[in-house]
Amino acid sequence: MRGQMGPRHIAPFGPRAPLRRKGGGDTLPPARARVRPVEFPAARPTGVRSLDSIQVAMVKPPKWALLLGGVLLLAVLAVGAFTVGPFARGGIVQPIAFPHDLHAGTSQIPCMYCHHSADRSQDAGIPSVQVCAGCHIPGGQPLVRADRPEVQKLVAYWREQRPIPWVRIYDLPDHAHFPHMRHVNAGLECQECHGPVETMKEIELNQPLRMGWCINCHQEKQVRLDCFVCHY
Amino acid sequence: MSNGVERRTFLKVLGVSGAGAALSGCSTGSAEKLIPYVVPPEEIVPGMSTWYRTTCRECPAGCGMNIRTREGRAVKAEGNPLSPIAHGKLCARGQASLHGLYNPDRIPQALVRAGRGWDKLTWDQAERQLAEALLAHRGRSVFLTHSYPGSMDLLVDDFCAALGITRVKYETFGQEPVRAAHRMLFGADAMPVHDFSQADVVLSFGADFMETWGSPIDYAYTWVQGHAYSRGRRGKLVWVGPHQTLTGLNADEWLAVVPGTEHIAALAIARLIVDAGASAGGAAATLANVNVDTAAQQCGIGRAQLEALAAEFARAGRSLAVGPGIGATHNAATAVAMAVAILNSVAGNYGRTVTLARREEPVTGAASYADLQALIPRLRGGAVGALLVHGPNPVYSLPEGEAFAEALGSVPFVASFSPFLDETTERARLLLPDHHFLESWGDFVPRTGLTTLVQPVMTPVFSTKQTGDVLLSTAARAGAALRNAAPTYYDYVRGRWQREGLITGGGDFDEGWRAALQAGFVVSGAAIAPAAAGATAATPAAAGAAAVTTPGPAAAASPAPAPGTGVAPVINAQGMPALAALPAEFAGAGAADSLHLVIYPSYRFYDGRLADRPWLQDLPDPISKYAWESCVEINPRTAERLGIDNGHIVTVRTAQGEVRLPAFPYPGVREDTVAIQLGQGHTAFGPYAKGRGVNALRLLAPLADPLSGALLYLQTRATIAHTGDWERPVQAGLRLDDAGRHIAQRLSLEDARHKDELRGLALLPAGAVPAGAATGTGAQPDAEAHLGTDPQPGHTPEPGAAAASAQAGAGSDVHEESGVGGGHGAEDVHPNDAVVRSLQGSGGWAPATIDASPQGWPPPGTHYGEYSETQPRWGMAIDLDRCIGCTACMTACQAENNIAIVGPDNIRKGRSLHWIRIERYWHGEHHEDGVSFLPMLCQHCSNAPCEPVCPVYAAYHTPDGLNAQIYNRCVGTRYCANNCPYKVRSLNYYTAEWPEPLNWQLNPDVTVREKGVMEKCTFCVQRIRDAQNVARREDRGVMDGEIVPACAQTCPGNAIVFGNTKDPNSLLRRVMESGRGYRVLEAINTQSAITYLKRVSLGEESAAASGGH
Repeated sequence: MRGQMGPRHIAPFGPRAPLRRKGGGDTLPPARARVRPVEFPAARPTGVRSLDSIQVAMVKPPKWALLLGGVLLLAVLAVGAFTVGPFARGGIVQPIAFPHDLHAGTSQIPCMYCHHSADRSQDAGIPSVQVCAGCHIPGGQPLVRADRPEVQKLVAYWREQRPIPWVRIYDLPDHAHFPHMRHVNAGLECQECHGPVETMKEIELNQPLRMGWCINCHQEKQVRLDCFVCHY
Repeated sequence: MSNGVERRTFLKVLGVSGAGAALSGCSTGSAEKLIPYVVPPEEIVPGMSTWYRTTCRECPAGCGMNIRTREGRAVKAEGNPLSPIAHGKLCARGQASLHGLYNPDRIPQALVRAGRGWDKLTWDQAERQLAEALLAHRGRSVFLTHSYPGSMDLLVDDFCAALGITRVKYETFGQEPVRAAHRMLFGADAMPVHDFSQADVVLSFGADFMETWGSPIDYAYTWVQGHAYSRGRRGKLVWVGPHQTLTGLNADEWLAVVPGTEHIAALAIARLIVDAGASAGGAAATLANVNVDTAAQQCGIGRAQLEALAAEFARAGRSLAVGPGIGATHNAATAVAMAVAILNSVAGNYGRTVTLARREEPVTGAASYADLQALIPRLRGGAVGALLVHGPNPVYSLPEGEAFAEALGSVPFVASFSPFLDETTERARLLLPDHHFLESWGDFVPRTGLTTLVQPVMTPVFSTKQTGDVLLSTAARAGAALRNAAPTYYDYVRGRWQREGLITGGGDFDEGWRAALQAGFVVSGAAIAPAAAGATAATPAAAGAAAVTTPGPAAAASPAPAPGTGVAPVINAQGMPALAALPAEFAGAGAADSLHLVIYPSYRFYDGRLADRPWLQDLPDPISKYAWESCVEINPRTAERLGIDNGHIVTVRTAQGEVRLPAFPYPGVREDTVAIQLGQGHTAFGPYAKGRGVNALRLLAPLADPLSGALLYLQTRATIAHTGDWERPVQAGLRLDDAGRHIAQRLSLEDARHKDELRGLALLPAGAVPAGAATGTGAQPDAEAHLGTDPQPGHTPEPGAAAASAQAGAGSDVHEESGVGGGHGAEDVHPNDAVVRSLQGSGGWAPATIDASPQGWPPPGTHYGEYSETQPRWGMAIDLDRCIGCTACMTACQAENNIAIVGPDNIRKGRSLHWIRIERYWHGEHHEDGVSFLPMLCQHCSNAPCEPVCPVYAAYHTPDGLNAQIYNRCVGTRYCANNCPYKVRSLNYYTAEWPEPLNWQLNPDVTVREKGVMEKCTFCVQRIRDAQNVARREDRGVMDGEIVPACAQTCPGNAIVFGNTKDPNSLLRRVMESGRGYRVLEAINTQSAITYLKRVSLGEESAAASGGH
């Protein structure tokens, strides 16, 4: 079952954080609108800026210093990225602790009951508050588990007619296009990319969500592999 | 490097630290939120487009529009294919309407002047202030508006009547001479509707009907229908005037008559036609006085030329004369308009190619420039207590703008409804910003019998309020009883529709209203379909119209209808002044160094009202290729005499003033004339418009045409002086010709006919009528195909059958069969044939075999690139005989593909980012032999020079034949751009910024590139993927015509066809196999995927000019 491929492909550093939507990405891709320029905070004193200062002061740092500086920088940044980043495991707090295991698992609600546009749109669709309210408080009357504190939060959102600001877990960089409908209509189970959602108390990213992971599947299924299929 | 750090070491360090930065990049971003709808709107599915029909209000033409919205934001404007005047097309102005909607310089809310600044007002307060002022100045108020026939017109009239306001309805290009001529000759103060598709010969007296004159999209579209080469036949356009606009450049012949003698030429031609036996009607007395020899002398042309023109023009209702254009308005302009009407009348064109029963309504009843001039002393003298302005910007658009501005100071209360802080608005006291039309309800009557609907496509961007609503509630506050008061303007519009029975066919009004919204317009009477059938059905007009709609020689042979039938209006000889006694007189004509000054409307900015649209500023002018700047067009000989070259800064001086601007030597202007475009030189109107170029109106003498009251744009004389300065011009194309590289090729009509004859095609007589165009509806099938709503069944599905056809296509024997067989056989029953025939009928394409066709590459048995036999092979064909060089495709592409606005400094450095550009190449050694326009975009070469030089494989070939550029791989070496022989790749030198809310327009389906990334045309791959996704969902192949790139979609000439070259039945293949096909720079063996079809020239074509083929 391909749904189990996720853990096998976990990066050596542990679960990966979602890629930055604006900016980031693995090869510094172009991004939507303005991007914070990439800075080289530690590299400048040892490497880049030394080129300028050499012109003036004729001070020549040895090669090994340059190389060591770079390597140290890499180590520091790499450790920082996977330990203290805000996306470290458990760092995500959703506005409502929505249990997918209860809805998709126990209650056997089909994924597309809520993510209704997955077979016709690029976006799977995040259910509107109305969809949640439709089951839990139809017509404003409490029906399903309306006494639970988390459902009470939903009731509050609905009463105030405010959208629920979910934190995005699955986020591809902007230069990669993933049309949901193409994959759903090809007969892929949602779990093949999203993991065993029906067993997850909280949605977590247990796939690398990197290009190599996409390519693996495209290779196995013998579908198009060229860059322009997704990157345009 | 001298400092001891080896380059290699340096790069290693840089690479390592770069990797570190990339890794950290993943963890420093903030968590992105997913915000769902609370209650989802019924028609919106996230990730899918929702389309709305509305009407473009950027100029008075009022073309129908389809607006694509994503998640509640308008992202792309396209023409409404059902609209009888848009035909699914838009010009660059319409494409850029989104930059009006999202313009960061819009006035965000109601404001009132407070000292030197502004105080915010609620709409409640603002309306109260307006109501109080109107009550205080009752009977002493003036409402200055644009001319917008429809509900708003009625409402303003009602409002003015109820509150004692005088209304002045002003349209900058109000066509006063044309209206005055028709008033004097026929008693109808109106501009008639023209049908260019019916005309074999068009004579334009300076009327830029493809740019701003009348209904430009309809006129450009129908002109191409009637003009472009089709089955051995081609029309002819003759341009008469001292200066060629874009329309003039499309002419097959240019008669550069002495300025001010256009009417003399027209009357001489009319006289010659009458001498040849035509009936002169009411113009007999006038024409009797015309001496052709004297006329030829006065006009500065030979008698033979006039005789030849007369012979061509006399073809029983299949010719058309139009004019004068705005830029040709001198003090004999009304005489020109009358001469044009007489010419049309004696040639039997009334009721056929020109119809007075149907009018260009937006100019009907508009005030003239003289009326506005008369307003200034009233304002200054304190006779006006309150002035409301909705639309016009007189401080900018009048020659005496400064006087108007000064007069505004004497008016106690000035309120403006403009959404922008333009020159007039910044002098107002109260600002009541109107919605953009894409946020508004409303309707509009572009032509008699056609009422279009304006509906909001998204919620308003700012806290603006629709002027209709403001007027309704202000009237209520002032206690004024409007005739048809309604709670909101939406109700007012619906009320009018209900009252006037605009929804016909019985049934429920709401149902009809919804249907009208869906179509975007309603047609009343039998007025619309063929323009020639415009007269009311009960008159003898019906018979005449029926004769006209009969295709082919039958129409040409049918007699001209007798005068007085209602088809051909009778010339009222009483109302006609002695025309020849009205020559234009130009003050200061004696001075040796003085030149005629032509001020002409801008294709991009219209009268200047669109100068704050960043896309339009970034768009090079179709002719001069100057962007963001003005230039003065000087004949190269005059320029040489004065020692002036391109980019030299000159001063242009008239009695009224002086401007300093770069010079552009331009072969399309007489030696004794210089021309400056309108639209630039704003002193307000936001940072995109302010201070760019010069306002040429400041050079004009404030003179009105004595007969019509029109502003005289060609009356003033100017002198030019070289300042000695030179600046690198903000210009996108520096050359006038193709340096002998045969890029834009032509062939003569005889050669084109010969080639088609060899193919066994049935040809029409050279001057005959295309069958499709004769019905006036020949465009319909291809328009539908463009929309994708009516795909033809039975097309080759994408993967399976295409492979078979591709293999079949590789053999040349199959070629010939499919090529010839598809062309003419009645037994050919392919479902595509209807479309093909209609396109042929409308001018242009005939199937024929072509040898080195792209589908022949790679040669059978070889393995080049990653071509897959199971994939389609995308390609394109561009018919140069249908390209009018209007650059609408450039703006469409910029809108579709998130192409950044680079600004003047980058254009100076050649860093423009447009993915498609229009090249204009003059032929002949001295650029005397006409112009060809050539859209240049990535050729998606099969043997692409850019691909092997990319060190990171960012440029590569896809299995479906696209030359791909992968942004996330690109490191910006620019090797590919250097190696591209077509120069269609451009690097992002800066990370683009779209100031809020301009970024709302960005197409979510296309990646936004950043600094250091190379980019170029993708053949709109997002549209290809979209069609493939939809097709896969419906378990079928992609159908021919389902994928339409943005450029092809908006092309008013339908010059661009996109499709699968492997599918032998595709429209593209049939077009490609025309005998006129060639590929640009074919000799370097790039095997490009774009086939150009040679422009057909009516003159003798030398071997050199045709590219040696």
